Amino acid sequence: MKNKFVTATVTLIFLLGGTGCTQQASLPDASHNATVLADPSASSRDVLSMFRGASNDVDLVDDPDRLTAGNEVVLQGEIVGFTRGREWQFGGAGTEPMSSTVMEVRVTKAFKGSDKITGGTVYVEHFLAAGVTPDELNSKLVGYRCGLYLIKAADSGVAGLLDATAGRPEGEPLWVTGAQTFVVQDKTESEVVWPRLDTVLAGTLEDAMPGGSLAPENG
Amino acid sequence: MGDSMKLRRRLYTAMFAVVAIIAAPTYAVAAKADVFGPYSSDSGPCADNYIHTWCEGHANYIPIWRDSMQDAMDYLDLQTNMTTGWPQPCDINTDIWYDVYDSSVLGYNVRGLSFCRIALTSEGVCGSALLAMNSDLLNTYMDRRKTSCHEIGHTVGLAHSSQLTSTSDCMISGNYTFTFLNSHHKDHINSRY
Repeated sequence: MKNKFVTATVTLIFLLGGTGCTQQASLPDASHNATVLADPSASSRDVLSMFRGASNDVDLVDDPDRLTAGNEVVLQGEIVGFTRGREWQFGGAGTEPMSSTVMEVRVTKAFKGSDKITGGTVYVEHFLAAGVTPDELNSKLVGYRCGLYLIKAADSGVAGLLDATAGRPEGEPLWVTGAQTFVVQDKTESEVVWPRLDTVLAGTLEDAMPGGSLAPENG
Repeated sequence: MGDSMKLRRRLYTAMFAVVAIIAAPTYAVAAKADVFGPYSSDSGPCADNYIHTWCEGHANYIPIWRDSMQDAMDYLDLQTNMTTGWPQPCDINTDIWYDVYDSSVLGYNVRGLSFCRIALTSEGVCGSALLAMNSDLLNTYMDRRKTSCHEIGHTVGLAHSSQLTSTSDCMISGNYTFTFLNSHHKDHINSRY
């Protein structure tokens, strides 16, 4: 009897507390019927890998339509390429500057701010971890469909920004996304990736755009 | 029923109570257990060693931005094996380059951002990270202290907390006032440094 009891106790401890520190899946969120994928597709993993080494503290919004209200331009498009962006001297005078990365996206559908999109293309500034190069990004992410909710990027006069107009053709505006406002459709067309949140949900890009209801949750 | 049987039942009841008390809160936290260190976009890379220095990128701060960061660094020093210090001039070896920007740099609804600016190994050991906080969103000391704690946590390899519980710590993302690390995250840090 004692042995049975010990076995039951060990099993109970394992079930309740022994899920370990390396399990990455979270519980599905019933309110949005979103399934956080513990084993995403190879293409989703490719997207995530390009944003390794960077993390955010984010106010998440549970509805794509509410995201739209807070951003100037909202669109779907296709990633055309990545280039070296602007020089930022984050460490102050005398320190070595680092470059942001600029992503070029061909717009396929504009939900908001179409009058601010010139030539059917937008340029978006990212800050990526050391070791993630434009060449690597171009080899992995060109051709992916993405969704963007954009606000205008900082212009000249911001501390540490050395070359405000660099990173895109002369006269083109530069935009930034937040962690929730850059969404990528994986190649299987069944998974949606928020690369800056390290989150992959089952669904399509359209689900995460205005009119849809797919949104990441904490965790 | 004999005395020995009664005694055994009481013993089993007590053991079950202990198990339930220990395991119940663990279950709540383990809904999404977090990874530690290298190298996802959620966890951030690990630091190169237990000495974690920081600097201010630009000399244009008002004290409220320095104080919350200093307090969060002091907390890391006191509560874990990490050793921190006072801000110094930024150089290539400083572990955290700290700065304050608005949403036009950090992005919509991003309270804070950190990324590795000098990677020492491809497996995710970072020699120096940038840590930036959003002046548009962090209006109170508690906001700034929580996000300082959060982003500092990323610079030593911590991932986000998952579900909101009574033991949540600053590694949960968003508008919360938790300014401390829970024992789970302290254990992660102390196991490595």
